[in-house]
Amino acid sequence: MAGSSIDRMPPRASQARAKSVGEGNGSPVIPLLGIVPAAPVHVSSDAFEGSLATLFALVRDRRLDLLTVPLLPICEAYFEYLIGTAGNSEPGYLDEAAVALSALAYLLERKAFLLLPVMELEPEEYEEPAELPPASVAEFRLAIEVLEQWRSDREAVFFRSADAGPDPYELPYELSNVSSADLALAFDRIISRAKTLPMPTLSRPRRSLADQMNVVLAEIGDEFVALEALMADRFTVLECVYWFLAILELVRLGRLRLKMVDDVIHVGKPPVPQAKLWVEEIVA
Amino acid sequence: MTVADALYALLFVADAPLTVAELAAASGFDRPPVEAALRELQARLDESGPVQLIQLAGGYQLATRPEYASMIARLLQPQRQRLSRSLMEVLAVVAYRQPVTTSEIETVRGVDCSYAIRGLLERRLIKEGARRKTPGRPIEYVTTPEFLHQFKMNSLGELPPLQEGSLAMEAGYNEETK
Repeated sequence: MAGSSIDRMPPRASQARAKSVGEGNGSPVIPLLGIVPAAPVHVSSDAFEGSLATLFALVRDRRLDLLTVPLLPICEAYFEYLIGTAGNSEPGYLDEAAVALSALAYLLERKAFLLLPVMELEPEEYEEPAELPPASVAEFRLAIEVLEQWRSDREAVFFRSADAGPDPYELPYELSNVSSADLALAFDRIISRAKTLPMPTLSRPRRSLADQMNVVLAEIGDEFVALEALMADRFTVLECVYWFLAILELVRLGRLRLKMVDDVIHVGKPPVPQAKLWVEEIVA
Repeated sequence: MTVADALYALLFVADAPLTVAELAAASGFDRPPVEAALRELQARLDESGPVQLIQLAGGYQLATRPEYASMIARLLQPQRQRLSRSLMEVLAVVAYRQPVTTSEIETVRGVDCSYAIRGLLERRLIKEGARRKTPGRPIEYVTTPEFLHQFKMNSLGELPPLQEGSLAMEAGYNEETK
């Protein structure tokens, strides 16, 4: 007869916690690694005999059929354990009881699931893959032979014109005394005389900054003018950039000067050095 | 001028088979006398002469007799265009199962047939027909009058019979498809 009982052995939890942190110095006892052994509930049945912890491990690892183990005596033994240890003030007692309760709850749940009716799934019916008919071109073998014979007979018959209908032959080309090599040579000569096609410009033609600098110098007279008034009213972004770059380059070269007049940048040519004027006068 | 002579003249200048209807329309005679005259002309040419009147591709056409083939070939030096085995197989499948799709041809042959179909299309032996009203709307292929002409047939009904119980026969080749 199956049954369960409480071990008369002293609680092993206290042995396992022999090295608990803080033991002996008045600090609260903390189990090492958080491992708490289950309460010493002993299970004895036809299929299994041992501790609750062992039963739990075997069921969890699917090494024991839980249906063969009655759980009612185990639950009674657990209650006896709780009653027998009532008022126990040993540290960790509640942990032991809680672990045993968890194990018992797990077993109950597993067994409940095992007792549920199993839905027998109908075996899926797989459709047989469509089988391709075997190649049957051999069936046409005799017909092909007859057709080839008819075609051969047909080739022995000529019609009004070689161009009449879809005759199975074509006449050779009439090239007189001209060979295909002569034709190729003539074609090569014609090709060599052909004009090459002008390549279309794929991008905007590049402008010279030097040209733009000349344009800027031509626009600027002896007087300083406002920088923003130099350009015509309508200009593109590219023209604007070219103008500005040309002015900067001319300033860098010393051929233009900048000055601020009423918060407006003016640009103009630098005065001609007096020595240069003398030279020009002498030369003249 | 007899009806037979008139038809002879028309057939002489024609470069393709002429149907009875075309001959009747061109000659101005009714169909019955035209048909009778064709039979008369055929018999007359069969009696003697190097030319014969043959029925081809649904019409009538004048042609030389086979015994003169060699000397005509020496004169014209025709370059024969042979049909490979694969082309012949595909052509036979199309001829017997038409209208037929590419996949159906490949089912029969067990190999890819796109190259052969293209070759037959270029030779004008088959042509694209309607699109089948099935998923994918595949193109159906049928034979052409040129096929009949090249194989010296007047109609598809002259195709040599296949073996009894063959798949091709079961696939629907019957008198209605001719």
